[in-house]
Amino acid sequence: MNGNHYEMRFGGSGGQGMMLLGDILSLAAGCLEGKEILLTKSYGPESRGGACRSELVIDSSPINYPAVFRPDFVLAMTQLACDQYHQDLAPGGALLLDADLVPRPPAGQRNLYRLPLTRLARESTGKAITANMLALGAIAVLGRAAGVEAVRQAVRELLPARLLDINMIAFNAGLQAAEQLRPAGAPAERETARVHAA
Amino acid sequence: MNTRYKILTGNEACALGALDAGMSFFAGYPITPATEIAELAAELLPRRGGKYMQMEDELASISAVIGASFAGAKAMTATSGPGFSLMQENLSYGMLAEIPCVVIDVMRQGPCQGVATLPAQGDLMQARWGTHGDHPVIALAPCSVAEAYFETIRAFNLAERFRTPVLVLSDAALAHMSEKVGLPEPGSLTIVNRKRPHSPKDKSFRPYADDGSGIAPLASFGDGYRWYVSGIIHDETGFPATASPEAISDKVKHLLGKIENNRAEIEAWEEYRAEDAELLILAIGLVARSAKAAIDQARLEGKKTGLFRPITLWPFPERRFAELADPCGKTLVCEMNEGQLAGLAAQLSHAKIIPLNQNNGRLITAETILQGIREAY
Amino acid sequence: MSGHIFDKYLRREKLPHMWCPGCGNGIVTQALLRAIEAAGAAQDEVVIVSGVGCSSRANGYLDFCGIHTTHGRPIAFATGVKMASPRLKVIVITGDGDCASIGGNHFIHAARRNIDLTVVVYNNSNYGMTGGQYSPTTPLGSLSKTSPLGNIEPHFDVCSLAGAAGATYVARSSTYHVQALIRQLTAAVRHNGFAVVEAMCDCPTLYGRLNRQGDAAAMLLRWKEICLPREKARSASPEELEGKIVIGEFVNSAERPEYTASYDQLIQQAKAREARA
Repeated sequence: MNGNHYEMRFGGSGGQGMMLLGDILSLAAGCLEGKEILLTKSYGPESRGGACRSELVIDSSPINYPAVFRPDFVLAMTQLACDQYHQDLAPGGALLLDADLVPRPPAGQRNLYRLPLTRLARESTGKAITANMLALGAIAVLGRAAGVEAVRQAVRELLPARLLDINMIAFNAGLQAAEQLRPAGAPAERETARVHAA
Repeated sequence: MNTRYKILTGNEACALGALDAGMSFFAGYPITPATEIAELAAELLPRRGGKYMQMEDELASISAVIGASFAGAKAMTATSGPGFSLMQENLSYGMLAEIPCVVIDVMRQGPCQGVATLPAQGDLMQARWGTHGDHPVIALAPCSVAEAYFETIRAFNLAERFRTPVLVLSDAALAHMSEKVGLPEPGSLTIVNRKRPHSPKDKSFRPYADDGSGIAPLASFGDGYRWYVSGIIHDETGFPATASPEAISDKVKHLLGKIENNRAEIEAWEEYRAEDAELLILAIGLVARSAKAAIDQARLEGKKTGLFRPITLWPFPERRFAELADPCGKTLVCEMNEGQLAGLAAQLSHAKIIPLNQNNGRLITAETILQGIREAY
Repeated sequence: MSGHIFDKYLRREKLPHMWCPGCGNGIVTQALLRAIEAAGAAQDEVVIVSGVGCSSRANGYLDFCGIHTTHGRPIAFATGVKMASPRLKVIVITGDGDCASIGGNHFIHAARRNIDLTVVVYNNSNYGMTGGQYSPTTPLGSLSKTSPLGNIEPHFDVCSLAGAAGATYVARSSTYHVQALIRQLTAAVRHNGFAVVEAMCDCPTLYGRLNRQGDAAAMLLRWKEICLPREKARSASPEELEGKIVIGEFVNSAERPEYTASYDQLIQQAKAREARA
């Protein structure tokens, strides 16, 4: 594994838009920034509401295995996803949680970011369903998948025009919320024992 | 931004490759993990004037595909193990009647219903010997989403060129994972179309007469040639020729020969760090990618290891495999089955064959292969 | 007249045919050729698709484009031909086993779609090619090589099956009622939709011999005895219908859209939507 290898996992339940996050970041990192990407999605047998996740591997070299083993970044939108996935985190990896939906964060976790993503989505757009776009904004700041502008461009390309405005509001709200979490000028995912919470 | 790059799943790549190869007819039956190919065909074919048809079962799917090809369409179906089994009888019809078409088999864990969502490489021998009688077969095994796109195009080209069904062996993992594919500019692809007859449209027309190239031209129903073909062993008129031992033997030899004698045009493979290898790995599809990572690591440990990856699985690129395997003395055969390629490798090479089989619905990891290398080296 | 049709539509060099003396298949095939002529179908636009069995061998004697397919699949092959080239007149020659047993699923689903195919079912009440085993149309109690004590399976009524599944032309006749058979086949070939004609025909070598129905002539005359025109059957009592075969036209409807026509509309819609987008 070289230094450019970066693994991400987005876990939640069906309907929270975890799959779309993978699609947007794949497009941003793969097509807009020219990196290699490999995206997988997995669902429970339910069409709606079951546990689901998408996993994204980003690398500057060809990717050999279509799975994430030691994610550098985990987003958990449910307590179950958090409980299942935080243990796999790579050393120095970052964990972003929906602060309301994941009431019991893992104890002693480094680089833990807690944002009330769904609540902020409701406040900014009036729709809880835009929480994934809020998470995307936060990931653009806190993660290393792709630059903020590439992510923004990928959102424009992937979402239908009629949904773009509301989703951009949520995306920008996520950017802001994450910026406030991060000390000014500090790079994302510093080795830190501090628990960031909004 | 380079707009030519798209993020696609393996299934999407197969469907788009087929469309770019000129597919105008798709007949299928829903089955996990191949369904998305049908869904995309249903969405995109009518926009281009083509037709998607959902048949009552896989027996009907392959039959309709061959029927459409008789009438001039480039036709395809996509399925997985259980459906592929149902198609076998009529695949042999396509092989005997020499009708081009493409079948994508997205392999899943078997046997029987197995595990519908998990990958496997259990259909390698079904692809080779699934139907009855000695028959020709071309089967391609992509290892990436980009290759799924290009190998599907190559499958159509080979089908049209050699007048035969061509198989593409994908798997459940490749089918559903997304990668970046550099789609070629429209018009830059090499597309092969079946050779049409130019002989008089009268009683003298012999639909299976060799024009000297080894492959008879193929007329389409309705274009003025009046011809008939039977699924019974037939001569160059298309009519049964069961009374003559020579005619039977000639037909079978022709079918096998048109593939065997054109191996150079059909075979494709990848070699990775194989030139100076002291241990050769034989693997296809996604397993070969894990093997590459394992090889890189093994070489850091001083173990000279290399990869031979058939892209054309059938006909197996046996000469090149033996050239690489024999000097090594040892070949580690990594596959997600109980040893379908290992048995073949043992027949083809003097090298000691060391099987590494994992048959549990999970892709073989680089770590597992690295361990295999350490033990085998 | 008949000489003209045979010269035009038969591959004389393929004769003599392989059917047994007295077999009814020739009568049905001749009726089909007369129907193709009467319907005015262009010879190079006709494709005959047959399955496997005695009747399916008719294909090889006919001078049209033809596919002699696998057992049970002619309707599925024919569906592909028709979809790829809807202007072709695609006619399926099939037997009772080929159509109603191994190919039963394709039969009902093609009827459901109402795709424009003409299906001629040569029903000789048994599997002739393999030596006289019972088929799904063998009458209850009949003897066959695999029902030596009498068939205990009730039979399929091919016409009821076709009608229930959605076929838009359904008729039945017999090798005795040849003029009616020609009329029905003509209507079926002209029909734009899924058309089924069941021709009751004779297998004197196997079914007839096993069931002591006499020679070929006796078997032909037997149809005269047991076939009841649909009009008369309507007013007949259940006792009078016992052991009888109802012949005539059961369905002749232009109400349901034909499948390839619907598909062409779908293509126009898809293209229009694409153009708007």
